[in-house]
Amino acid sequence: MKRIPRWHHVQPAQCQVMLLLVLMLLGPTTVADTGQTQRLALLVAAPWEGETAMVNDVVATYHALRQRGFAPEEFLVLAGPLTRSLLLAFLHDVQRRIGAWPSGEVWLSFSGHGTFRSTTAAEARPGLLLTNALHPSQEEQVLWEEVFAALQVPAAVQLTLLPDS
Amino acid sequence: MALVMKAEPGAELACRARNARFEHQGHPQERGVISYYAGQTLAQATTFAAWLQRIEALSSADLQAGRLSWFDQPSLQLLGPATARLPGEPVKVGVEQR
Repeated sequence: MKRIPRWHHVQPAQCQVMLLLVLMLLGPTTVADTGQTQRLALLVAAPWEGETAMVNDVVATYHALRQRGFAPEEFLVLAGPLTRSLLLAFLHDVQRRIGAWPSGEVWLSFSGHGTFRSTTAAEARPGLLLTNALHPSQEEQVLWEEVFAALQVPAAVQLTLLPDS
Repeated sequence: MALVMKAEPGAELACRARNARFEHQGHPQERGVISYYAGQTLAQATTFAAWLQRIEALSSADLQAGRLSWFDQPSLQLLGPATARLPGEPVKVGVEQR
């Protein structure tokens, strides 16, 4: 679990407005008409209340990928206090966009907190923890296997995963 | 392809990702440690193996210089073909200007 900085002041109002769902893609596909590789970068930040690191990570990753030639319309950014429903809806929308790609590249970076279901390493099912509540509800956690199931990246599309959780 | 934390034997169920403060435009900025080093090295890397090498080199240099604690130093591994090329094109540096 990530260390929570002690010097952070809790600013609920700021946290609420951090909920950004930036849908920069105008259509269901990207750069389809240019003959270039179809690609999409998904940048997800799931901070707990008062945390700033995750959104900073998204901004930095955006700039790093822009340096590598990603165009602004090749990004989808989801940042802010997230729920399971919101994250899965986002991923289902992505699936709708990439599902018919014959090839291409999908980048997925997640900056947030991790969790495991199970008590033994052999049975561990890693996931994302969307709250700092002592007893998180089902709506406040998502397993990685559920993330991949929602994305359903086509076989010929390369998925690059950078989990910081 | 995935760049993930290594699990030490016996600590497979521990969460290991950290946040730390790094200098950004002259000011300290809170960042995820993995994201910070991944982002700092991403632009110029060609393959996933080269990317991991750059991350390890930069974080080790920061550790030696006292900019990163040993506790926060990332220990990463690649899942997938290491020689695969990263998405996009690497930024070329060191090109002689005329």
